[in-house]
Amino acid sequence: MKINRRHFLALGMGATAGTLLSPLPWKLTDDASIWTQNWAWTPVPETGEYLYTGGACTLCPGGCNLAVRKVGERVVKIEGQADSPVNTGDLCGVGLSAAQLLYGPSRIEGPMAREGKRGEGKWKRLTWEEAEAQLAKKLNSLSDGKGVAALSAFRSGSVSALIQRLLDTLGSDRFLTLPSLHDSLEQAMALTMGRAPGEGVGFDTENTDLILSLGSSVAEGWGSPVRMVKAAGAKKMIQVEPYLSTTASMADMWVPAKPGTEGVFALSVAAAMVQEKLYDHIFVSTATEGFPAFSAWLLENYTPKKAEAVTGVPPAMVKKVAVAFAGARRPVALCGRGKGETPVSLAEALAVFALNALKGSVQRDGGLVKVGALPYAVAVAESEAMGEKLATLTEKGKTELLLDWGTNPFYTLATSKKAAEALASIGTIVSFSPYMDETAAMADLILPDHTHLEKMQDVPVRAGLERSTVTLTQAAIAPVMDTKHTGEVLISVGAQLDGGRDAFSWDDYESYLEESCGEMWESLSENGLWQGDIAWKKGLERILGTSQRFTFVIPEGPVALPAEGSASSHPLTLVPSWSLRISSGAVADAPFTMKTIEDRVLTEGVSHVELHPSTARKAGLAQGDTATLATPFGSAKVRVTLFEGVMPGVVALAAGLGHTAFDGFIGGKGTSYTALSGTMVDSATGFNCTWGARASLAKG
Amino acid sequence: MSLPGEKQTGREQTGSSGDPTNKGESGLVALFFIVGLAASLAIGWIVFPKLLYSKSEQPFDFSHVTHADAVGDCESCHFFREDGTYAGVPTLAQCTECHEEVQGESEAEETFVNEYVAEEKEVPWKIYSRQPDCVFFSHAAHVTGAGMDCAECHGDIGESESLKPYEENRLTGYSRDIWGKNIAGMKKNSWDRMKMEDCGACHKETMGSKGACFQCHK
Repeated sequence: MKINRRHFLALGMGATAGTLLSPLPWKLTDDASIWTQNWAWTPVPETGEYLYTGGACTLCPGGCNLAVRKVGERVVKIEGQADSPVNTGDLCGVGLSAAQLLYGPSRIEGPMAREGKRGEGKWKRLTWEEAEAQLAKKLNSLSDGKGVAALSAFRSGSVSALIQRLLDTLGSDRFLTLPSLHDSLEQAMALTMGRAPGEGVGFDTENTDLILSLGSSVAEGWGSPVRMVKAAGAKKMIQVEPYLSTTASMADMWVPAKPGTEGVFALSVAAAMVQEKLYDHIFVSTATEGFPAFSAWLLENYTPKKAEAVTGVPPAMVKKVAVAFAGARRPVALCGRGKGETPVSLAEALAVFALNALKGSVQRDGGLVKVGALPYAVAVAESEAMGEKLATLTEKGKTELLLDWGTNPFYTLATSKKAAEALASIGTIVSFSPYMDETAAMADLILPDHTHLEKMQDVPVRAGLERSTVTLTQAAIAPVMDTKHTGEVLISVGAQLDGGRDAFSWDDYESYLEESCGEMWESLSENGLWQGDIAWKKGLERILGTSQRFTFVIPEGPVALPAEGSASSHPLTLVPSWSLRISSGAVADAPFTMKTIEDRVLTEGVSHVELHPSTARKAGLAQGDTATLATPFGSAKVRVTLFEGVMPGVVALAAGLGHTAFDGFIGGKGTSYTALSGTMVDSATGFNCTWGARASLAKG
Repeated sequence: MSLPGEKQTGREQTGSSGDPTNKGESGLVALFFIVGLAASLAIGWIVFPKLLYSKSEQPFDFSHVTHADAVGDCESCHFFREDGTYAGVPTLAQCTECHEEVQGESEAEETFVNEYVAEEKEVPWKIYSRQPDCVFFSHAAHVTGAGMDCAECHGDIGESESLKPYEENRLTGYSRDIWGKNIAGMKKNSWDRMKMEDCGACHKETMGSKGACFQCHK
């Protein structure tokens, strides 16, 4: 018997037939196809019973209430709290992606001191006792407290009061917050309607029937985002803006005025209302002062025809807006470009107040309203001349020690290369950030706070709500990192200061919190929210209408601030574009939210600029080209996206990108608009009210 | 193909079928065929499943019968929460309500009380019927909504005296019960396997449509 190839072939055929008659190939194919889709990195939330804790978001000033879903000790989802009057169960993408920030790699593990050069990223871990002692020692060693400045995320509230107390103990009056639209509005209110300390400005958008938005990104995060997005979807809207934004696309009418001239446009509408006698005669004659002089000034300087030279808006369109505004029952005019994170000039704010007053839309349903001061038991004294003090921060040699609680000045205030250098020259930088943000990365000492999901703290809301509001963050889970509540740290460090023992005598932050919130505490601790009365609906006013007096004020400073630089070297105008998906404040987007940014805005880590095809043609640029965007304050490599919705001559760059710190999922993506925007100081307030910058765009 | 001058081998050397010396050889060829067939069938049906699945025991044994006798029904332990979600396998806290101390004489209970209750450690049960993470399955829709019995999908697990070993597919990580005990994928009962086709078949039968992708794959 000889075994030859035939036998092997027979064996093979038998084996093949047998295999095909067995489940092996079919089952293996099925399993292999499943195996190819089994990615170990696919995030899968814990399974188990859902538990909800309340809370509040602090990623923007919007003041949304949260319902934090947990499984065991893990946060799995963040939602809006259903019964919240602020956000009525909804939340923006940035707010709900905070769970990823909580567990993300940009968190700081614990207190640290700088070891290498500034910004090098070499740290020495400290214990909390060591870190607090180090800060106290440093503060005690300063010859003069005036060199200490502190930036606070909020203007009022329990922690802000502690920061101010710390500065008082040291003898410094440099308590600072990032200025916003509300700083301008409050000054305008003081001049036109009178203002007690702590009082704010609100817009009753729930009851309005027409929103005239002077550059405000109503649908992209202005004010309290959820509330405003809902308003944008439900109300009639006129949008004045040089860019066809989401808000503009949702509006009933889009008025592309030249960048920075929205205030002038408002005055031209006011002038048209006066010219055509479209204003509310009864309100103006019974409740206002200064109208004759103001109207004469308007007609002399801001008739639609005269304003056209500045705004580029044809008089017919101005009249159309004036007729619509005057014809609406309860219209309201809003201002504050983009998300309202940057102040407007006092003159512009006054123009918007005047426009509302001409229609009687002040202190009534659907109008511009006065919002009561928050009844804190520990008030924060309002900082005089905040604009100038802020400007001092970005001057070399003026600040010995900077404390930063939640404002990230190396991103938010670094409006030029020079400003960034000045900030980096500050003697000692102390950061309380829970995330490795740009400021923490440059700090000498980091005392990381809990995130808003890990601590209990009051959040005073300053977002144009119609009534005064405070929300409460709550600890959904035990701290993920070795962090400590900044309130606790301030009490501990304060008590270690020379002469600080009595000023910081509380046992812990929690008992201080209760004390500081005074009469608000009961509601805050029970509902996570405190709201004041609606000021214009109190008592008799509800029946008789407003008793508010209004003074028309002729502004002294310029309404539209001019951009620095020459038209020959920088022929274009750079403006920011805004998105609900890009956080433009101190804290960057979570990695997940970064992935939602469209390709027309960001690809491969490079920001795109959007410009009109005609602008691109003139500059010799085509879709997708790489170009250098330069302003008098800095330059960056960008890509070109053509978009007919941008005014010719204007270049739009998404704000909120270009973080250099955080982690690899967040940082190093795109260009920071802020770093290119420079400063436009309003002489009346001292605030940087920049709305854009002169720019050039060259291929390559 | 053969090269010129080379010794011819293969086909041309084989004789005709009438050649008696080749009769035995073709029998041998058939034998080889059968050996190949038998071996691969054995591999496919017997060896392959053993290789494909890893077997492991549960942390300790558990009798559904004993518990069902004591508490009455499935829902006492496998209940729906107030918000309508299904609680699944009881948590330690639930078990501890009765088992804070050792009650009976079983070894399993002793293990449970000493190693888990005393240590406050959740029992790492291996769940036979767990669908993969890409599947969204709602017990509420099926039990509360459609009024199905537990047994329609889970069979007679409620009558088990002890827990069978947990078998995990080495390739996919899925429990064997998803594909079913029968390696050929044959099923007799509705609970024998629970792959997508099985969901689809039942949905088609009861609702007239298999449903859309996103209903389960969200």
